[in-house]
Amino acid sequence: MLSRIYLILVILCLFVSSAFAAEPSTPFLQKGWEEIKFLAFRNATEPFDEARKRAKAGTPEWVEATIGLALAYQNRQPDTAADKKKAAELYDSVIVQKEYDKDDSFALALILRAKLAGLKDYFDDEPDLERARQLVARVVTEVPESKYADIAALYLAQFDIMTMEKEKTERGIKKLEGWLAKRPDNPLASVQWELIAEAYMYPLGKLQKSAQAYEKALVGNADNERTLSTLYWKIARLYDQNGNKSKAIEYYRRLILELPRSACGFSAQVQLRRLGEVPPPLQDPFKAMRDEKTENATAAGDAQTGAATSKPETAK
Amino acid sequence: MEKNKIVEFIKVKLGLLILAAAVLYSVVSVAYSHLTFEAPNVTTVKIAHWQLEAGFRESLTNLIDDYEKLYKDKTGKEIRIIQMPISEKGYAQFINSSLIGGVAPDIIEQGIATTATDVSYIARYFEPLGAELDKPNPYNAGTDLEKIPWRQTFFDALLSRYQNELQDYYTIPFSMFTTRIFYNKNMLFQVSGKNTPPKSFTELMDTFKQLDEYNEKNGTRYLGIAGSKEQKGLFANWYQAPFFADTIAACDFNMDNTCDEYEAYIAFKKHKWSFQDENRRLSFKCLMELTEHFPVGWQALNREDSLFQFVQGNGLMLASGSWNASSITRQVADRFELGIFDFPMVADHPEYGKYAKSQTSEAGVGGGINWEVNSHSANKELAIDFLKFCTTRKNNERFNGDIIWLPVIQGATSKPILKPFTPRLDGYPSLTFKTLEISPEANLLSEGLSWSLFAGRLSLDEYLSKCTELYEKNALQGYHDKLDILKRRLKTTETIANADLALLMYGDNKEVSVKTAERLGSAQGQSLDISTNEGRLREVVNGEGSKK
Repeated sequence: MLSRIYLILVILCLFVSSAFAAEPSTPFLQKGWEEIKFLAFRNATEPFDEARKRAKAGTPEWVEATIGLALAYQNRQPDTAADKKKAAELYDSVIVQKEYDKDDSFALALILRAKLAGLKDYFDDEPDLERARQLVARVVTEVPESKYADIAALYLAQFDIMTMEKEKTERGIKKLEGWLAKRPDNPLASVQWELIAEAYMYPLGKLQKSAQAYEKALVGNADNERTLSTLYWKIARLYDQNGNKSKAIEYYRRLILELPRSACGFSAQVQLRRLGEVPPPLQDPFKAMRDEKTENATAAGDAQTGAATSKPETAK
Repeated sequence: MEKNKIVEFIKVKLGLLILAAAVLYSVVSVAYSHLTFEAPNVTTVKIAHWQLEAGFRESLTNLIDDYEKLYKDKTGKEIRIIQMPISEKGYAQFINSSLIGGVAPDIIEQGIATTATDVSYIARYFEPLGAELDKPNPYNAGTDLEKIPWRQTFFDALLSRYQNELQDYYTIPFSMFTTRIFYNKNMLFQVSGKNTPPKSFTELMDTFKQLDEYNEKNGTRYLGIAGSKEQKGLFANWYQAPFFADTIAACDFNMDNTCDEYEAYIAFKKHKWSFQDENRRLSFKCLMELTEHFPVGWQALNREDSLFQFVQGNGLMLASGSWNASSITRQVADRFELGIFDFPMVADHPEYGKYAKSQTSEAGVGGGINWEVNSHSANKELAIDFLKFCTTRKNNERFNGDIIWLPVIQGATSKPILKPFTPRLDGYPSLTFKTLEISPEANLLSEGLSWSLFAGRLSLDEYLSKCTELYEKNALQGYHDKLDILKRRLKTTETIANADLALLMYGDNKEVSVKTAERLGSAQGQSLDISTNEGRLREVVNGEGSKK
């Protein structure tokens, strides 16, 4: 009788454990990504770990869980050498696994692994820019159709330029310009042109080329008035310093006429006067406020508000 | 006999009685708070802020009352919106602990607390409002703003109110602020015979001269400026910073029209500026001309002291922000007629005008009183809806009209008294030339020395020579320390970028969007800043820096 009860209990235990074991990894994956959305990397560790245990090695679920777990170890705080080592091993396992079936997950693992190598993550961590460069270069050459390829092309140039050595910077620029020639309308084009422009300015000191690259970066920033203000000003200054007066005047004027909220409008007026031009007046985005009627004023608005939109004499 | 017994009982048991009374009071207070704040069947939205100044809570309450009524009319359900005003001193602790503990209010004023301002925490605890802001505000129905995206209804399309590193995270402002000079109209007329305030620095100094003569003649002790430590800082923005416009231009290596501490140090090593330069000397001379009209011992006075002097009618002028307009107007009451004017320009001064050509532009001024929505709130849709309700033209005008602040919604009008606070367009984007600030140690020591300078215990020559010593001794270490801070900040941005990259594969949005590109661009910009600053430092340390 007793042995029967034991038997039933064992069967029950097996049934319950098999029910748990059969539970798919999907809910754990969902929970993990939910935590990642809120940058709660530590909270994401457990669900990804659980999902990885439940998934069969090599399946898409296993790859997803491995990348998620690696991401959690890579970014959770506090930064420790042990966590980074675990993250590196996990990324490497995906890279090896997907070696013969290269897709977006392969590209993603390579990029995140490269960032782990290229950045200083903890106190005595030594960034390895060359290793990082090699990893992202694999994305560009081995999976050029991946959605991560444009990002990899950006990082590839960045790892070169970050050295601030002229030869490597020129190499980075050349590769990125080559990429942009093939994919001029890629979603990261304006960011890539900005990187090229910055590198031409420093350390290379090629002002004309820098201005031209910034001009190409304008396309993707058409709706961002704040970024446009910075870009117009930089282009004008670069052409100005390089002696291209007509282009400098064009951008100083565009800054005043197209960007009324730019704080550089007055500076552009000053530069135009220096170049012998009559600057256009500043647009007044606060005109309605300035023009409000002041009758019934309890305390006088003495209204020397410095509006000065048509007072170029103040800008000597 | 009975009386003695009672006295004796009180004597013996007084401590116990006080304790019992205190416990009873606490129980009643807690119960009352619970009854007030917790209503199980009513949806409650909590809104935390540190605006304890008179009028703010009342103005917000007016909007809350209207919203609650409107909501009930619309849905038939009751809701409650409760303000949680917290003093500045306790705000950081309250917000940090409640966010981490998962019991934070639904709407939180951004500022003071790390968890409400640091990008990594913002992404963790607050709702990205980009998608909501791209849709029209339903409460604008029937107005000319009806079809315009909510974001575009703000005076600056919220350009200044989004997180550069996160891109999609906006705060919702209610007001905007600028700084001007308040003055006593009666006193001005009494001493100068004029009804209009000075328009230039020369006129300003002439007015102070007339005031001195008036005091001497009449035995009065009116002050030119109701000065204090805070006033010195405010006047320095307008009468010291403008002297550095040309220096900033000369040191602006990355051509962004500003000069940060790194550029200033590299320029120093390249001999593009020094503490002995004429513009620096004149900037101190100009500011000290003004502080001569502060009260004796102003270095020990604080903000409240100067405000008190002014509203009592003892000072001709006081610099302050539009946030104080209501309070000053109320305190002055009928004592004298109050006027407000912009800081007179130094540009036409024969000596100072050589360097100080203009002030700082306010064209890019951003909104103030910024609200964030707790992404873990059970009522976040309601919280966002309430913010939409508050930022219609009519309601924003009403809120700011009640408290006499500047509104932020296009077309909303402000009180006539605020007209002089309309942002100034003329001026440079930044006149901040940070030198000693690169090292906290040097900065602290130079601050101490500056008080000796203003007190006359140190000559300008001595002061500047000590500043040179401090800078030469500490700036390089400060440069490295600041770079380390940049690297830590980059780590945060890279963390966000890493999450973004993975979510491109496993999240809801699988395409590289404009926002993704902007976030990657932001990380790239920070990374390049660090490399560039390191590269430039290597150049000057290796002696490759060009000589002037």
